[in-house]
Amino acid sequence: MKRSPAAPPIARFALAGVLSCGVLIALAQSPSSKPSGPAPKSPGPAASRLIATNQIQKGFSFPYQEGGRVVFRFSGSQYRALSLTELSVEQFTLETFNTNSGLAEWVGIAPQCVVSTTSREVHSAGPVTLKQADGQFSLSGVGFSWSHAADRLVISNQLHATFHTSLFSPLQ
Amino acid sequence: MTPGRPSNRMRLLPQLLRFALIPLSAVALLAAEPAVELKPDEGSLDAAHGEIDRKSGQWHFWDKVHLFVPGTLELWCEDLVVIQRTDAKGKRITDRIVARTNVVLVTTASTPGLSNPNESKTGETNRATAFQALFDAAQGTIELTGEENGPQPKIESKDYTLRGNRFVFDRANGRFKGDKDFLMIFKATAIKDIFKSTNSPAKTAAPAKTP
Repeated sequence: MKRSPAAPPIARFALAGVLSCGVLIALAQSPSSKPSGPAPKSPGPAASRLIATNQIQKGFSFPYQEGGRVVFRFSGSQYRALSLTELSVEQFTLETFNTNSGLAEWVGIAPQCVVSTTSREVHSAGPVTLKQADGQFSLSGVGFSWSHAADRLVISNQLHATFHTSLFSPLQ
Repeated sequence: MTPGRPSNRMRLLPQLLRFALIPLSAVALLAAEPAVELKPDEGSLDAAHGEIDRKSGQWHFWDKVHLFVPGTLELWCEDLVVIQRTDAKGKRITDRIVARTNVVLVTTASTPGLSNPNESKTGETNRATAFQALFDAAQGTIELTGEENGPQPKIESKDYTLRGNRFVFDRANGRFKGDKDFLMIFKATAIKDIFKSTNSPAKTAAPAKTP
């Protein structure tokens, strides 16, 4: 009867390496491995819940108000926390509203993007469409970033827009 | 293999072709984006990059910019800025449009648009090239200028070629002005009546006199 050949030395080394890594990871995550020093400030209950789960959460809505009026709203079908302040949102929608009248101004849609809840910025390397609420202008592109503070949208590539000719009256 | 009957390989060939054609057709259909039809009173704008700054009211597009207004004009450039302002009613309106660098402007009465700035087609009335084209809504003018130490702006039609350092088309008053090193070249066919001889008998519709 033939005996099965002994495991080659390299396989034994690989197994030892994997076990060592597992031990190191377990040690790093244990409370005693945290660096000493003043305890960091608590991020708050809502952010803690987001970070703690790091799982996909259904439904996302982030209205932002100025002067008691919603000036823009982020929403999405689902989101996942990437960090304390960043969320990855699926089926993302951005709506902006006129600060005086409260009427909708722009609607932007992207299959996926990253939202910063502190800087109120949105960016994505994927496709985006944006439409003016009155239907006079719409555009699409690939890759974008939007900043509420600067009130600026940047399209990275393949911009295509359609417009009502009255919007660009100097051309008529 | 029976003589006169195709081999197994030959019988399989049509099936293989069918299987190959299906994915190839699918690829062709997916790759060929259908042309988006513009609605009446609609234009299109294509560019590699764009930035809409709502605070300053400036919309900036750059890198292979193509602006198309069916039945009116078609414009290519490397840089296009749409400058908006707020009117008395608080509505955003476009004040000026500035096209810069390798500007080609074609006025045309027909559609669809050209595939590239070097293409020409029936219905093209004027073709202008310049470093900068400025469309001013308040003044109702289109101004073409050249780059310093660069080629002059040029306007071509089937009847003439115009060159000058600056052209201004005053649409509000129906005037056209070219100044600074202005040159106008008329094609002979456009001005042939000017050189017609005045000694020839005037032609009339009266019947020829019988001898």
